[in-house]
Amino acid sequence: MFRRVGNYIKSENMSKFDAFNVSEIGASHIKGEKPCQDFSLSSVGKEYAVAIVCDGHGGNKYFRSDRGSKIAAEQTMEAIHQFMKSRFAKNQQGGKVIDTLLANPESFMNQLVSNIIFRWRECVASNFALGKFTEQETAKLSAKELAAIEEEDGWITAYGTTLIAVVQAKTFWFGLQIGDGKCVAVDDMGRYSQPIPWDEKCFLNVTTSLCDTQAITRFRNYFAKDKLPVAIFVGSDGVDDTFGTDEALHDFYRTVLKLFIENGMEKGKDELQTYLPTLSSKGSQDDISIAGILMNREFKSQ
Amino acid sequence: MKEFKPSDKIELKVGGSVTIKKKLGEGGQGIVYLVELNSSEYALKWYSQPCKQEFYDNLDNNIRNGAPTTAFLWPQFLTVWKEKHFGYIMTLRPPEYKDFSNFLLAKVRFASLSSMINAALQISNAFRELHRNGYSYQDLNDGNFFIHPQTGVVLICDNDNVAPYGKNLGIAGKCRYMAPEVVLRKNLPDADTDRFSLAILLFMLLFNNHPLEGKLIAGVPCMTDEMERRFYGRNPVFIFDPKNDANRPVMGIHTNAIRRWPVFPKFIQEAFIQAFGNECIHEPNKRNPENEWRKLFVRLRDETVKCSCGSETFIDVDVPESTCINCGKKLGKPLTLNIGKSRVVMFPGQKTYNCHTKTGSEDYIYATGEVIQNKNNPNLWGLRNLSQDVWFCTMSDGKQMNIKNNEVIPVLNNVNIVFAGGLKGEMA
Amino acid sequence: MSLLDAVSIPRRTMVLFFLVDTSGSMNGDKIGGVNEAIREVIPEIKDISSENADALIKIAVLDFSSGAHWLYERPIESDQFIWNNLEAGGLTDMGVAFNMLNDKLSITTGFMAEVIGSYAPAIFLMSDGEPTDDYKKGLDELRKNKWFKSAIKVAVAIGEGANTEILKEFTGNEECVLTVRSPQALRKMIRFASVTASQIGSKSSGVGAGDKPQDSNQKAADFAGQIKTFQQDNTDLTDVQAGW
Repeated sequence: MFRRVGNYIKSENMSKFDAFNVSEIGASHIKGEKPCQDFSLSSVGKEYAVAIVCDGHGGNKYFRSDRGSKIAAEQTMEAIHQFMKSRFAKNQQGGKVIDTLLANPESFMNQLVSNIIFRWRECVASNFALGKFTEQETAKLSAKELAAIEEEDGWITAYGTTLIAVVQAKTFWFGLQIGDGKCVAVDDMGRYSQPIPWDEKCFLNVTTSLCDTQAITRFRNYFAKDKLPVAIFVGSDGVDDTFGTDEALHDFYRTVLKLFIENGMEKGKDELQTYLPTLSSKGSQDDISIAGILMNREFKSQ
Repeated sequence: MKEFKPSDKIELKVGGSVTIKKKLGEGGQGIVYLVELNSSEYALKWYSQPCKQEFYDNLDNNIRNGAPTTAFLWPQFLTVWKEKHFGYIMTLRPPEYKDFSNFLLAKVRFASLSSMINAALQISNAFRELHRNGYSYQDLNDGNFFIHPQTGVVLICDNDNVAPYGKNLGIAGKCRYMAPEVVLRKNLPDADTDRFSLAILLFMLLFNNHPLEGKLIAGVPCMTDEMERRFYGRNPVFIFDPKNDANRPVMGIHTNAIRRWPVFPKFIQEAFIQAFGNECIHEPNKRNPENEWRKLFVRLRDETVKCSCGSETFIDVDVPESTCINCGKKLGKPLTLNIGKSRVVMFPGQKTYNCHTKTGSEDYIYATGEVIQNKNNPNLWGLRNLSQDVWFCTMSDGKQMNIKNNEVIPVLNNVNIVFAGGLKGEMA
Repeated sequence: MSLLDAVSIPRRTMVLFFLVDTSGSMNGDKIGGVNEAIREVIPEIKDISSENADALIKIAVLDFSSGAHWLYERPIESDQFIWNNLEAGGLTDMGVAFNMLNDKLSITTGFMAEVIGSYAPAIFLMSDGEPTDDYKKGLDELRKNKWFKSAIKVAVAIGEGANTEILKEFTGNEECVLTVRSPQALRKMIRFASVTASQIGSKSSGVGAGDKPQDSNQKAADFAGQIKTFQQDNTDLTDVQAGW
């Protein structure tokens, strides 16, 4: 199967992107009458594509994380669009922002991350201002947890979420992440890897979060300007918890990639969406989100 | 220009040569190697890009004049030209000293408030000496400073961009540390622009965030040149500007500044409010000279005490009680030794220095007195004379005592001390 | 028929560890009691495992006396686990046992690669006496291990001669240290604790998150609560057998 993929990639015209996103409520959330706390988005344009997955935390005190994850995904998408627009702005000493970006991506990544945290915080603050916590929402909290959300910055925890976003353009790609969930990239030789560095603080069911007081220090990123991947998948931990090992996870994405190659984007997405409840009930029981960017739409025609 | 290999020999301008041992690291400007010269180890910085004669001559000049103080890891020897490249030799930086950027990223922490204050004093002093010697910095960034996290001792590196006043080597520098007029390319770097950079550095040392980076900066996803000119050049807004809250720090991004600002005494806050206020931003000659920063940090040190919980905290000498910033314990206002404008808190562990007790001295390093606790009765405190001078003391009841080296005067209300040189101090 | 139907979803697994003191003083009805109790409880664990859609339970056993050794190279699924009677004799190298456990509580070189679905392990320590080696060093290292920190831990002190202080250090919670004074109590305790640990351990927990680590110890807290209730309801556990 991979040789086929390899052959397609030899083609010169690499300007076509495809992207998709699917989310589904977890089996345990249905049982526990909790909403789906995952949210995903994707977007495709001539110049670049974006895929985003956000996973709102599941414990009792994260009772508005479904809102938190939606806001995170939407604001990240906005920020990325603006960021990508700015890359053609002129530099004072000649050249454009994109030249500096390719030479020195780190400070740009940090700036984009700052903007995402800022936007998210402003939006959840507005949401909170529109409606403070109700008794129903706080009913299941322990005394300690109640006291914590009364503290100055404590309310924001209720909106806590993770975030993984990947962007692929013609001459570079990058991924940003805070919290758990995995980003899997496939290169033109059919090799699978997880390029965004892992954070040891994410362990078992504990994760770093967009609501952390030092969120900026917990973001990780990856930036590359050559050897662009043929596919990038991002999934919430509902996916990687189901498969356990990296090998099993990569095998799963191998099947997903084949699904899109053989059936095209629309049908592939529909089949994947239909499959998600099974994945959750047989696997992690958790909400599932998968989003991705694929390089060349012309798989099917070859 | 290819990289050097171990055992390559590089000739020096003064004669002789160094032998390459291994590569230590790489930066924007060049590569740093570990080299051997006459059986001692040194560092060689070799420039990756072709260099101008002007740059070479400037370095040569600096080497001849020597370092302003021992805080500067100064170039010692120039190499000969190799095609259009060259390098210079300097002493190795001891590994205990950590890059300032590590402090900013919280990878390294100061052992105590005292070490942090010491670092601030050292940096201010270093700048002062640099300017007194007729140099200006030109290319400040957080990679220049190496600090010992235990003691706060500072080593300043990358001194190849130091040049005499008025001379400009055409270095771009990092915009975040540049004075607004340099960002806008209205001025070339000089001592006044250095002073703005110093204020930024000191703020970052204390608060671990940049003074001009708050909501406004976080509000843009991509920092273009135009944005930089706006936020660091045309309209910089201090994150704690009392009259303008447009650029307040954002939780989650600038959490350090949010948490640390309220902890520091008002006089420190006011100094920064002024340093980043409209006047100092737009009028370079109104900026705080380094000496003033030194006085502020000496005063901060005078008001720093060690709480029984083991952490250091600040005492507000104008109020009856202060709260320990670490454990919350209430500390009653201790007596202070008032000498001129100084008010040194008389609390165990606190010291007086030459700058307090010696007329006209600026020396903040040499301790002349120390507050100690009586071994048998810890509630009895005394000030031990660490200097060679005799202190002429008068107690509140009129009793006179001459306190010689190593002797102790009790810390009590209304004790008067006349130091050598005539300076008068009173405990109150 | 979708391609995805062919995706094999591994069964979620959790590992139950038994650390058994097989020193000389365990000889006789103490080791006999342990052997019987575990032999009896394995079918029960197998039942929990098969009835439980949430997780498959795998078992790993480490016995320690003079030195320590794993019964099997890898954790074995409860329905395939065959118990070989342990024999007692030798010293009590608890420190060695802790080191070996620490080693295996990792993904790269240990047993935790067997864990699918973010399940913390359950660890069961049984001892009747004092360690004869430097247990402290081993325990200190073990307590830094993140798998150990999030595990459900229970220690059974067999008889009065056991050092319960060390066992409390191990579990981190004195409510999870149970003292048994007769073979009957031992059997009951082993049965209850391993069954409860397996049930709680293999249930999906509410996914906790954020910068507060205590979220991950909800299971441990639930477990401690259940043990407490069990002890209160079973007062005959305090009957003392001669020699225990």
